[in-house]
Amino acid sequence: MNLPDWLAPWSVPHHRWLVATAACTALACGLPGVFLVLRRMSMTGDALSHSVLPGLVLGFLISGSLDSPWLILGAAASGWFTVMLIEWLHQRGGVREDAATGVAFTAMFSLGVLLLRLFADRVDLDPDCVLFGAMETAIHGRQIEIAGMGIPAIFLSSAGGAATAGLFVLLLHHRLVAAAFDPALAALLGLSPGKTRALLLAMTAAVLVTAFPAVGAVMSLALLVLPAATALHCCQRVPAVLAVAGLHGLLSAAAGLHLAIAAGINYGAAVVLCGAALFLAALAWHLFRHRANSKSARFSTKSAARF
Amino acid sequence: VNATAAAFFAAGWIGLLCGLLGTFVVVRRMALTGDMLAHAVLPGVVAGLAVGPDREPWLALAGAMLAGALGSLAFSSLQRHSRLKPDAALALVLSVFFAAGIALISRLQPAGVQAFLFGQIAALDRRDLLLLTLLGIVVLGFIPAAFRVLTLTAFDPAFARLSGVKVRWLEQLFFLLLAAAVVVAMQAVGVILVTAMLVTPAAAARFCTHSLAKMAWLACAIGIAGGCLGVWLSTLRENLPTGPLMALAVSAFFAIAAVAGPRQGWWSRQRRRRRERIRITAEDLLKRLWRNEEIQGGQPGHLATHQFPLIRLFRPALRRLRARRWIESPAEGKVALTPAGREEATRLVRSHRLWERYLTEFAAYPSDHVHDEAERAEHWIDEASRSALVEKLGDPGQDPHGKPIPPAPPPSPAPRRT
Repeated sequence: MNLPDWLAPWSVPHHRWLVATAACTALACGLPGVFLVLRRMSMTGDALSHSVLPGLVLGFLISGSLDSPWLILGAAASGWFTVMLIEWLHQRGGVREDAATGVAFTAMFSLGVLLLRLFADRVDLDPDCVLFGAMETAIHGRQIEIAGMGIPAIFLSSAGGAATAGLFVLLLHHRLVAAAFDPALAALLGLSPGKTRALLLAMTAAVLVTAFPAVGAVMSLALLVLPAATALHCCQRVPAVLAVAGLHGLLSAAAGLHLAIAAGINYGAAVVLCGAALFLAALAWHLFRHRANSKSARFSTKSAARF
Repeated sequence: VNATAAAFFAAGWIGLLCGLLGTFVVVRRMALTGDMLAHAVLPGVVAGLAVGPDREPWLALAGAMLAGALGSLAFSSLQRHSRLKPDAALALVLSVFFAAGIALISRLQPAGVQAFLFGQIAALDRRDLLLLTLLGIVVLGFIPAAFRVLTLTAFDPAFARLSGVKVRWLEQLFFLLLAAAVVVAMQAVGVILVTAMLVTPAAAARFCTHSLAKMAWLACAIGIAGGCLGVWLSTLRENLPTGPLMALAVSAFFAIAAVAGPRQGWWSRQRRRRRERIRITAEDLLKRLWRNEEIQGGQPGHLATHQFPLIRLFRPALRRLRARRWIESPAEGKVALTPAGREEATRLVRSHRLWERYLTEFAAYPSDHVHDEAERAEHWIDEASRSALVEKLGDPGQDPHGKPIPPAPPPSPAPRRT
């Protein structure tokens, strides 16, 4: 192939798999992330991203492989347990929500690390991967043969996550929007906001399971929050926000490849840093537009009313 | 230095530091801000380690403070200028700074960064222990000396400012100490579990006391005990991680305090609630006996238990009434009011009927809707409220249903309720 110099990284097949995996992971996280941010539950996402660890390890011990439904089940269960614990401490125990979150997720995370070390000989999950993610090694890891082509298992799991998240948002769109903006109205319409919230948390836990081995606990939080934060500064309506969030995931995955190669850094971190740069650009654009608007607001209340 | 002794020494100091500072972090609702700080210092630590030779702890500390300051600057400016709510701004700063740290690590690969990521208390050397001790002494001097202004600033910053406290300076100083404590604690428990050492002991202490000073010392004690317990547990077997065990140890203390804490713990709150319910049932019982006398003229009779909603509290309520000598049993299975019990019951009925009267006259209730309201309110109306009601209503003789409001008995010798 004759590619220009700056596109050279794309000629390496495993780079393309890396970008595809990261894009799918970012998409999978970004879609439920929009609703987490809208509902001011980002730090619940943080708690979830850490507390899926013990469930992952237990699921691994039961099934013995990194891609089995036990992992998702275990992670969803431990995530669910943590959220319940936080709510119980907050509502029945009189602990403030921030302290309850801090106590619960660190306890779960340390339990996970302890299990990981205790069964280190049987669990094929590197402790490093908890913080860094292991996308680069996973791409070279297990391949699954489909139509004569070896496809990395990690890509398939992240693509599955993205597809599920997309389906989830498509099918439950009106429920999610109603529960995010007006839970009382949602309850009146029979859209049970409580169930919607539970579904959203379960979906988040499930996508975090696919993101965790790829980018680690903390950077999967970035993939949850950054697309939504960027999109919320670009547009107003939820479908547009979802679309921009998805686009943000794709763009930061692609740009991350160039940054990772140019600066010689971890690919997951590069994706997050590119995502942060996109966010800053969106914020600058928003501030610029907002300033222009607030100047004209003196003359026209109509345009000001849009904000 | 003996390695185990050094580990215990470090765990104790870290528990003390984090307990003292964490108390203010928890009462100021900054637990997640502390979490953010713990992640945001990472790029600074990495840069500090990479710049200096031989992983100089002072350079790491300086870098961490710089990065921490940048992180909280980013957080506050996001809050001011963007549409993000505080939770999203926190999550964003936390994860992006952490990613920057990971990027720096993968680029520079400085020696000794593993200790900061995963915590290796055994890897702390003389210089780290010196730094830790110095920091501990500074915090031990600063917090008690500035305790009053810190408390004032935590609970009412506007009033603190008006009283001449240099709130901004104080906050900057507190922030610097917090960042320093976060950096040293990181080397023992790892970047993610710093939050546990900072928040969990203080949150546990909160179950046990209402006084901030006691809470601070208790948090210290829990931090020290948890830290040392974690180190001890990790020596029991090969290959056990110290950091997570320390975090789990303080979490265990938290769980114990949440269940058995003498003030806000689950058990004591449950007991308080039960005592209150027993009081209410007992008062309902007294009132029932009084009504019997009003209707039938003082025949001691059986109590129909189905009239009391909290039936399983019936026996404890009877015990309470007997203990206060408000009822007596003239014959087997029968109960009657004593003179003191009659006075007490009169007060209750007075509260009930005065409140019914008040609701119809001043709150526009129809007279057939007031009974249930009064049935609830009577347990909370004290002598002062009764006289206020009498003053407002001009000493009415009857309740809205035409029943007489009994005259006030002579004031009771001791206040009935706490």
